[in-house]
Amino acid sequence: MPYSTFSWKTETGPGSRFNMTGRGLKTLSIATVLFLMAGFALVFLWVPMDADQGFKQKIFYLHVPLAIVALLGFIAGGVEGYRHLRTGDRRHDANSYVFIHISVTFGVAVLVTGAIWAKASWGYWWVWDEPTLVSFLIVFLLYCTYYPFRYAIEDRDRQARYASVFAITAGAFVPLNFMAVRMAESVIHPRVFATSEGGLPDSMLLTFLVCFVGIGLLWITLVKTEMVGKKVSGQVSYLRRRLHDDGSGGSVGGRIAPSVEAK
Amino acid sequence: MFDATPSDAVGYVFSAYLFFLLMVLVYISILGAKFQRINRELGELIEELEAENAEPDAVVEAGVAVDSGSNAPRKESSV
Repeated sequence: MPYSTFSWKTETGPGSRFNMTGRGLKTLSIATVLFLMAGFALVFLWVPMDADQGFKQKIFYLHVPLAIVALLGFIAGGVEGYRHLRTGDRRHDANSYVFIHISVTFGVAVLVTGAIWAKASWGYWWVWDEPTLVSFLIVFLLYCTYYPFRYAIEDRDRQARYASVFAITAGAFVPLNFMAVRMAESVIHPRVFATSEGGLPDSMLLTFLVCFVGIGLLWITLVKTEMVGKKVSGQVSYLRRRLHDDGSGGSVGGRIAPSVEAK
Repeated sequence: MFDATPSDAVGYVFSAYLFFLLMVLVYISILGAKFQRINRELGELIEELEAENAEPDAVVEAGVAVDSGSNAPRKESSV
């Protein structure tokens, strides 16, 4: 079979195990794009301007869903870490790694969009005595240490176990931290949901929900795409070992990033 | 409370959304590059495998050519 140039779907014989498209990934990608486009269209064309903040309040529909999805992703990473420790299945460790990886990326977007909103609203890029901002920064920096922590351990089994313990501990810290911030006296950061004033009007709530679903779908799509990459790179490593029979796993997938090995 | 002018507010909002879109695009292009690398490695493996399979075939074909004309039984490729 002649090797052709890049294609997302690579057939290698019976069983077609090297399918780089992933199951349902195309549908998921289309749904993500549609929800994000619908959400942004609602933000800029339909939802009424906020009486207090005006146009700059529109950052809310991007910043808040990103923050919620990132925090939920951290918790999901902890759950996968727990499942890895329970079962010893390396796929859960790979899931945990990818969940945290994508959530850290979303965390960067949360911090940048938050800083832009803060500058527009308060005149400062950052306010150090605001518990919501500082607590998110602490969570983000905590998860940034996940990578050097993994790098520091050579043995793959120990690396996976310790990373799972980290994911569980840090994942448990996220809701505790969230509750502590909710109970703390806010200086200037707005409280929008479940407030005594009644929360968001219906049109804003609908727009927020569409954006939230769009951002959530984006997170799932990126996770699935990363997992397909890990699975295929694991299978390539397995093929290389079988072909050379020398025990070297190949370079695909990197040293710290766990790959899903073919059995 | 500080209040940005309306034109400033438009700039801030669009820069926030633009940053998000650029970040997603950069991430997707990194993923694309990774898939291309995996695909290249897979192609190299397939080529190696084909080369390994072709070598025994060549030996077998050479053996058949030598034997042709004689009554010796034909060698069959086991690959």
